[in-house]
Amino acid sequence: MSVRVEGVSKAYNQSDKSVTVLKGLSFEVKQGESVAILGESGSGKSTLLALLAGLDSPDSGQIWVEDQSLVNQSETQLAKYRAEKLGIVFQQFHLMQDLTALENISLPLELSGKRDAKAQAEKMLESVGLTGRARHFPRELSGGECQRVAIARSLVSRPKLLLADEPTGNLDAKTAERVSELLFNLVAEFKSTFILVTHSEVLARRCHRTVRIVDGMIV
Amino acid sequence: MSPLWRLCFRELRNHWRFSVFFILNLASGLVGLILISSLLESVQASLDDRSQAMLGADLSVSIRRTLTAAELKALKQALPAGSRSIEIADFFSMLESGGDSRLVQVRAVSDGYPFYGTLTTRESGVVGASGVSGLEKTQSAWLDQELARDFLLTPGKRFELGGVAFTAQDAVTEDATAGVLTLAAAPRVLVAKRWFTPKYLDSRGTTLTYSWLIRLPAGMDADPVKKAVEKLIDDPSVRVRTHKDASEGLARLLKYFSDYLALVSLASLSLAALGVVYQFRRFFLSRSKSLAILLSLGATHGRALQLLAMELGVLSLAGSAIAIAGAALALPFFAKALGPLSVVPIAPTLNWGVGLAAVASGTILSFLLCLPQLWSLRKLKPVELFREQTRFTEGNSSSTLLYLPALVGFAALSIFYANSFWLAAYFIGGLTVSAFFFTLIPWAALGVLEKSVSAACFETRLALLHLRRNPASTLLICVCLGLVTLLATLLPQIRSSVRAEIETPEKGDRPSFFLLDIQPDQLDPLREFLTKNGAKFLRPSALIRGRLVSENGKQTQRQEKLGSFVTREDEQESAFRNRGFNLSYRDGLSSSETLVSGRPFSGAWEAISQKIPEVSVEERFAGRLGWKLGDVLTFDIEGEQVKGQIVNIRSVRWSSFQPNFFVVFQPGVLESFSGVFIGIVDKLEAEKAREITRAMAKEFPNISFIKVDQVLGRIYAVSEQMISALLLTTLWVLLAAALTLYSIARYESYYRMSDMNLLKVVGAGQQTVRRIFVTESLTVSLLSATIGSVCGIGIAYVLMRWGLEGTFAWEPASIFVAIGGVTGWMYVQTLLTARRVWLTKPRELLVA
Repeated sequence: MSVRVEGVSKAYNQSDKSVTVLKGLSFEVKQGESVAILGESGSGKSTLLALLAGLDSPDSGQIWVEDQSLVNQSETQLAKYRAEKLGIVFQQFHLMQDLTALENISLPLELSGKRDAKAQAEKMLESVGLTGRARHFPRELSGGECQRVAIARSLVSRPKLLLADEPTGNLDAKTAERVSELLFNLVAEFKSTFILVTHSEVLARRCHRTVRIVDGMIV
Repeated sequence: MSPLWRLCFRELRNHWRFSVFFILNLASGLVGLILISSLLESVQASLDDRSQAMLGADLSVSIRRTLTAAELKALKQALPAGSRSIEIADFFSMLESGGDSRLVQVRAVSDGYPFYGTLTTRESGVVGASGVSGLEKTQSAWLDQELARDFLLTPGKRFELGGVAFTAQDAVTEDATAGVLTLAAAPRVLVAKRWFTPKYLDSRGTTLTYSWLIRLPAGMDADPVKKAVEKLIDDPSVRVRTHKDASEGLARLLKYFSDYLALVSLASLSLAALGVVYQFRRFFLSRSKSLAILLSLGATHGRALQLLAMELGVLSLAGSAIAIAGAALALPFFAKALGPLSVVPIAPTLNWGVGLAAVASGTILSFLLCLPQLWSLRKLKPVELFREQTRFTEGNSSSTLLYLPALVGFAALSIFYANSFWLAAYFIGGLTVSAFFFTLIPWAALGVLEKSVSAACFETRLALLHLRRNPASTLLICVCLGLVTLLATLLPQIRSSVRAEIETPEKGDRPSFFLLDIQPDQLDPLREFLTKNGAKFLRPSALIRGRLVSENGKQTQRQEKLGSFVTREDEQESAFRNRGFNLSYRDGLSSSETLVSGRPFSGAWEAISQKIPEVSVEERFAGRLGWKLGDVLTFDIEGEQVKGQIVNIRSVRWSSFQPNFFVVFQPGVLESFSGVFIGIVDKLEAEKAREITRAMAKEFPNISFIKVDQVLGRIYAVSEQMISALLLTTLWVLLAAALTLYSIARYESYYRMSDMNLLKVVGAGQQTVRRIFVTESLTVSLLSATIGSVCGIGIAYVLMRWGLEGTFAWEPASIFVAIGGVTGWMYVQTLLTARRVWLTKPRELLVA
C-alpha cells in the first residue's frame, strides 16, 4: 500500500496560542517500503502518525493511501480504513487492561467480524513467542511482553500499512533488540508498508529509507 | 497558610470534579439524617412545651379501677403540702341523638379541671384553668365541634351518653389536653363526673380509666414526687406519670413512624458511603504517582498522610456544611408533609445540635471509610517511579479488613439514629443480605451471559467482559441499583396491599361491629335482640382484669421511669409488664389464631385436680416478655392470686377484628370472677347496620360498639398519609443513589477513555463504542432492577403477612415503573457521562 502526503499542515491551540506542528509536509512511501521518520521531540512526528492513521485531519493538504484520500472522510469510513488496512504500534503499548493477551490480539479480527478470530490470534501469539501467556492480563506481563502483544495485535489482521510510534522507546536495550527483530521480521513476512517514528538511529537504519522532520518540515 | 495547606487546597482545586462529587455524595447521605433528627427534635421540643397542658397537670396517677382507701391515703401522704388534686374518668361510650349513634371518648371531669392548658369553645372562647366549672352545675356537655356539627347538637339540644341524658352546652374548637389521635376516630365529650354513679362507671369496665390529676406547688419538680408515689403505691398497674412522661409517650407514637424514616436516611447514607469509598479509592490511585513523587522529593510518609487527611477533612466538613444547608432548605417542605401525622406542630427550623452531630458523624465516617487508602499510603514506595511501568495499587487483601472499622462505625451510627438496637441490627442485617443478593445473583448471571454470548456479538461480549473483569465498580453499581429498585417497589406494594386489605370489606371473617362492655346478664337478651333483627352475635368472650404478680415465682417489680431506658425494646418490655392484663378464657383456638408451639388445652380445669391451670399466650407478647412453654404466671384478679402454666403459644391475626387476647386461660378458672363481655356482630348490609345501631343504642345504652368500617377508614387515611410522606422521604435515597451512580459512571468513563480510544484506533466506530456502553448499562440495570424488584416484593410480602398480619396484594404496574425507571435513568446517565468517550478522537494515544 502506497502512501502520499501532499503539503500537509496542522496547527493546535495551546493556551490560547496556535502552535503550527506540521508546515506543508510532503513525502511518499511506496508499497512494501519501510520508512523511518526521525526528529526531535515536538518536531511533529507523532502528529504525522495520527494523520496517517486517520485519527486526526490536516488543516490543509492531502493524504492519499493508495488512491483513497483520508481528508474529509467520515468517522465510519476512517474506522473501516483502520480496521481493514491499518496496524499501529504505540510506544506505551496501549493494551486494553480488561482483556487477556489473546483477547487483545483478537480484537481487530473480532471488530471486522472474522469468524476464526481466536485461531488466528493464537497463531499470531505463537509467532511473537507468547503462547504460554495467552490468558494473562497486561498487568501480569513485562514491558517487552506487552509490546510483543501490541505488535501481534497490530499485525494480526495482516494490515497493508503498519505505523509504529517509538515501538522500543519504553524497553531496555536487550528487549528492544528482540522486539525490533520480531517487528521487522513480521513486516517482511506480511509484506506490509511500514512507517516507523523513532529517535533511534540504529532502528532507523533497519528501514529502507529515512525521513527527517525538523520544525514540522522534512529536511 | 502553611505549604501543606496550600498544597491541600491546590490539589482539591486541581481535582475539582472529584472534590465536587465527593462533597455532594457525602451531603446527600447526611442531609436525610439531619432532616429526620431535626424533625424529631422539633416534635419533642413541641411536646415538652405543651406537656403540662396535654396532661392538664404536673402529675397523674391512673388505674383501671378506683384507688382503695389505703392507696388514696398513701397518695395524699406522698404529695407535698400545697398540692391540689382532682379525679377524672375516661371511657368510651355511645352517643345517641336523633336516631343516630356514635362511639365517643367521654372525659368525666371534676371542678378545677384542667390545672394547665386551655380549651377554646365556640360560645365562651378561650377557657383556662378551672374553666369547666359550669358543667358541674347543670347536666350538660361540651362536645367536639365536628361531633356537634354531625349530630346538629347546638346549645340546648339534648342527647344521650350511654343511656344518661345530657344537654349540649358548647362546642370545643381546640383542646390542648387532647393529645392523641385515636384510631377509632372517637371524638371527645366533656362532662362533669358527678353526673355518673360509681356503679355506672364500673360498668364501663373495659375502657374506663380513673386518673387523679395533681397540681404541685409552683416550681416543684414532679419526678421526686412520682418516685414517692410509686414507693408508697407498689401496684405496678397503677401508672404514675409526670407531664414529661406524657410527652415522651406521645413522642414514642411518632417514633414508630420515624423508624422507617431513620431506615431510609441510613439507606441513603449507606449509598452515599459506597460512592465516597469508590471516589476516594479512585482519587487515591490516580494520585499515587504524585504522592510517590512528593516522597521522592523528601516528604515523609507522615507528611503525605497529613496531606491526605487534611484533604479528607476539608471535603468532609464541606459535605457536612452543604448537607446542613440542604436540610435547612428542605425542612419546611418535610414539616408540611409530615405535619398531619404529628400530634403537635412541627417547627420547620434546623436544630443546630443535630447539625453538629451530623457533621461529627459525617467526618468520622469519611475517615473510617477511607482508612484502607490512608493505611496503604505507608506502603507507597517512590522506587516504583524508577520501574519501567509504574504500578501503584491499593495493597492486598488485608486492606479489605480495614473496611471493618467503617462497618462498625456505620453500625454504631445506625443504633444512634434508629434509637433501637434491633432496628439497627435489622437494618445492617438487611443491608448485608441485600448486598449479598445484589452482588451474587448479578455476578452469576453476568457469568452465564458472558459464556452464552456468541463471539459474533462483539459489542455485547466486550461489554460483558468489562463488567465481569471490573467487579468493584460493577457490583457497586448493582448494589446501588438493587437498593433503589427495592425501595421504589416496596412502598407501592405495601400501599396496594393495605388498600386491598381495607377496601375489601366482604373479605374473610371481618365483622361489622365490635361490641364492648356487655354485662354478663345482657348476653342472652343481646343475642336474642340481634337474632330478631337479622344479625348474628358471635364470639362473646369474657374480659377479666388482672395484674401480673410473678413469673415462675419471681415477683414482678415496677420498672424504672419510661424515659430512662437505653433502647426502645427495654422501654416496651417494661410498659407491657407494668400494665394490667385483659384476661379471658376459652376452650380452643379461634379461626384467627394458629398454634405455634405447645399443645391445645386439655379441656376444662377442675379444682379437684390440684393441677396448675393451663394458659395460652400470644407469640409476640410472649417473646417480648421472655415467656416460654412451661412458665408459671401468677395474676392478681380481684385480690385473689391465680396461677397459670403456659401450655401453648399461638399467633393471632389481629386484623381480623375478632375478640383476641394476649393471655387466655382454659375454661373453669376465671368464670367465677366478675367481668364484662366483648363480642362481634357478623357482616351486615350498610342500611341494616344503621338500623341495628339505632335500635341497640336505645335498647342497650351501656354497650359501646366500634364500627369496623369506620376504624378501617381511619386506618386507611392515616396509612395513605404515612405512605405518601414515606415516598417523599424515599426521594432522598434516589438522590443519594443518583449522585453515587453518576460519580461512578463519570469516573468509569474517564478511566476507560484510553481503552475506548484504542478500540477506535484498531477500527471501532463511534457507534460500536456507544453500543458497548449502552449494552453494559442496560445489562446491569435490567439485572439489578429485576432483582431489586423481586426483593422489594419479597419484603413487602413478609411485612404484610407476618409484620402487619394482612394479605399481600401485588401491584404489577409499580414493578414495571420501577424497573423501567431505573433502566431509563441509567440509559440517560450513560449518554451523559460516556458521550464524550465515543465522540473523542483517539489521537491522544499518539501524543500521550
